[in-house]
Amino acid sequence: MDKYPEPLENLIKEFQKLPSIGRKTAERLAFYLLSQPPEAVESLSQAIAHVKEKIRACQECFNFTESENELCEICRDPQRDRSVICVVSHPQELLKLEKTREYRGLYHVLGGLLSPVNGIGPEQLHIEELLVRLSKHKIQEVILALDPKVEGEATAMYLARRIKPLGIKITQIAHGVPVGRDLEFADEVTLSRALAGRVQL
Amino acid sequence: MKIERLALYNFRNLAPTELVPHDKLNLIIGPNAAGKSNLCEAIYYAAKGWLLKGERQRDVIAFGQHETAIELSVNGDQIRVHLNGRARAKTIELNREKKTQGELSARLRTLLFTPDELQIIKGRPGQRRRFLDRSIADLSREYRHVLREYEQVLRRKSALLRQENPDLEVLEVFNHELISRGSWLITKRREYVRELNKTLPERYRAICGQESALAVIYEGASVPLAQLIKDATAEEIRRGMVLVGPHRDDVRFELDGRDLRCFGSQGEQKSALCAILLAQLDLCYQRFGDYPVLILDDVLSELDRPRLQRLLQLLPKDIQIFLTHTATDINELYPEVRAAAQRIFALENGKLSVII
Repeated sequence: MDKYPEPLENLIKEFQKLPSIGRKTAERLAFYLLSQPPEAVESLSQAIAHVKEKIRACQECFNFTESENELCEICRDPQRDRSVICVVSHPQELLKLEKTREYRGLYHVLGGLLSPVNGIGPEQLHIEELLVRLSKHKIQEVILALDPKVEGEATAMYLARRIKPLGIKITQIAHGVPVGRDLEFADEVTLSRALAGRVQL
Repeated sequence: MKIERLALYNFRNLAPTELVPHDKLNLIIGPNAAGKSNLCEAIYYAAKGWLLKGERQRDVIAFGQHETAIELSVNGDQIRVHLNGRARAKTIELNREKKTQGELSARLRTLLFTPDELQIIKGRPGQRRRFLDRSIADLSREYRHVLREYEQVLRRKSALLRQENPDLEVLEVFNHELISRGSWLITKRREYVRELNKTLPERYRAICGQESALAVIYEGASVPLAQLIKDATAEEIRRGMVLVGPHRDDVRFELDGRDLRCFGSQGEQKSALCAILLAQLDLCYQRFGDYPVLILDDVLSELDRPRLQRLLQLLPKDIQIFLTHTATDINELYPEVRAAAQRIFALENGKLSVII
């Protein structure tokens, strides 16, 4: 026998398609499932089946939402400040920002960053939809919360150029020294960025 | 900056090694392939976090092993770099606290010279540019960071230009990103060249004993990068490739006004290299207030005796040096080298022993 029985082999192959999972990990996961009671396996396969079926993108901001709602929880929330939109690349980042409980405005999820190397241009991102939102509603400020790396910066710059004609205030989250770290050990690069973005007290 | 202790485990072909160097000149002799360059590389790798020839970091792990460690005591600080090949994990500790490579950079600085450095003068433009970039990066970590970002933007811009109908607005955004970083790089390079020229002629005269003037000249566009790119954009779109930018600039070394690459003799080129080394040390001292640990890997073979003698005299007195030389017996050494060396180590088949 040079292979496992087909159903097991299939499962291993499916696991291997997942990011950062190789053959060995895939085998371990498959064996683990095999050793579990049927209810546990059933609940997992239900979860997998439902995720695709029940999760949709919000019609307004492209955050995740459950399929019975067109709008996500945040867009539906009457308590949110509807004059500010924070732009992020992915829903994961949105969730991080939400956890801070500092921000009470709306969001817009781009679905990625400008990346010519991967063939991602403006039309692959939810940029037009953002511009429509900005011209339709009374938005006073757009906050860009994108990666402080090359692609994030380019995307921010692109957005700034497109939004500027609308006369809306555009801001970018601060980049700099991580909170709780000694200045002594801060990277030269981080420090000089932090200096460039200093604020008046 | 002085290394007080160096210990290596599973680093390339080296046996577990502990070395207590002298704070001045350390000479390491051994036959070919004994591991002399590996020893140099270990120090370089710990200080910089990358390898000289751009190999994968896990390649430094000895064959058949899955982890390696480098431990250093430098000016009282305990530095430990540990690399696990299986987990592809690297940990850097300073006095038993986890740090990043950037945080380590102020605690361990090195300057490395190998025979490859002769390519600075003789080689193709790309090699001179790499020397320039590396020398500036030795003085400023920020330079290396910006350079890498510039290269990233460059890759994205060329990908964009390769597309059938590149989005002009996106191209403009990437050009903007390229210009902000590119002009910063050009400014830093010109600044560096200017600084180098302050000490280079004097250093050259001291090395060769003649009244010749060595100068380094930055060869780049005379118009601002923004203008350069603006003028080239139509052509770049037409040809589908990036045509201009500081990644195409070069430096030229001139001796009394003639290009050293084409018209310099071997001897002049070697003298120029020594002068560049000394001038770079001057700049390190100006910037940091002390000298880096100097690693001279196999450069003796490239220098003749009078030049070597002068170089040894001209090197700063309070600098720690690791000098490797291909020889199996200390009697093969020039007496002045032997006399200058405070400690001599022999390396054979990856095993290190102290001779003097």
